[in-house]
Amino acid sequence: MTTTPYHLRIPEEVLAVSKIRAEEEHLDQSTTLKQFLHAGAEEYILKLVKKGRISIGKAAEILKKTVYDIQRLAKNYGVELGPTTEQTEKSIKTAKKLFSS
Amino acid sequence: MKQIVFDSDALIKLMRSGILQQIKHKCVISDSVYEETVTEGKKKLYPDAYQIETSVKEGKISVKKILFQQLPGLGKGESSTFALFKKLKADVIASDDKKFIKLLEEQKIEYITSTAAITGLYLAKKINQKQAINALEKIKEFVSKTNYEKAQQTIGGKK
Repeated sequence: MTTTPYHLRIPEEVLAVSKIRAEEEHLDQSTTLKQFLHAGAEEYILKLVKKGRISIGKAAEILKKTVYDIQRLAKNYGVELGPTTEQTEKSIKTAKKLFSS
Repeated sequence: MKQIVFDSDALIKLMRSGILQQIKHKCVISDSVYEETVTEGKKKLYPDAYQIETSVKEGKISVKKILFQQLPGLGKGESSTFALFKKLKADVIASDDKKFIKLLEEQKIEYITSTAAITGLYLAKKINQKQAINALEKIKEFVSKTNYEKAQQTIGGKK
């Protein structure tokens, strides 16, 4: 993972939580802060996929992950990805016609 | 024989479901989809990656090289799938991606989703109810609850 320095003022409550996590998980505080940032970014990107703003492949490219990783991340965050009910219903008709031929 | 072009997400799910072998039409993927599903997947030891590789080696899935322009909001896999579909004048694209499907609808291109493929195979009597339900169960955690339930109801499994 490539990192870039970025000046940021962090709310005290977030710092307090990152300190708790650092103690709980035996990590340094800057690592836990980066983990919070990363988790927030992942969840936000998944929400964009869910809304149909970007595709799963694009999400994988942005997060530097595989399509498999995105499927698993969505499951872990409880974000349901996939087509709308209307798209699925339309596609069932297409699939029935396709596989009957 | 009709041709189905798969994007990475749909290919992985249909491989995982175990019903890809039941599809008798020509299954095609772009070299970018191969890269995403096999090359990248194997680096992280995803079992589906090895199964897809085997299906390619056995000739069940054809891999085609394609030059493409990356489309806004889409990744290389979906963009190359779109370009390959056009080049081959294929019949259907298999995708579960909302953004990509929106584009396909705008372009009046026919598509099948992973749960629809399972349901369609069952309705066309290519697989039996037990096979369809088993296939659906294998991808349950990777598809939305609504789409899972819709497929399950159509197949006639428990509601």
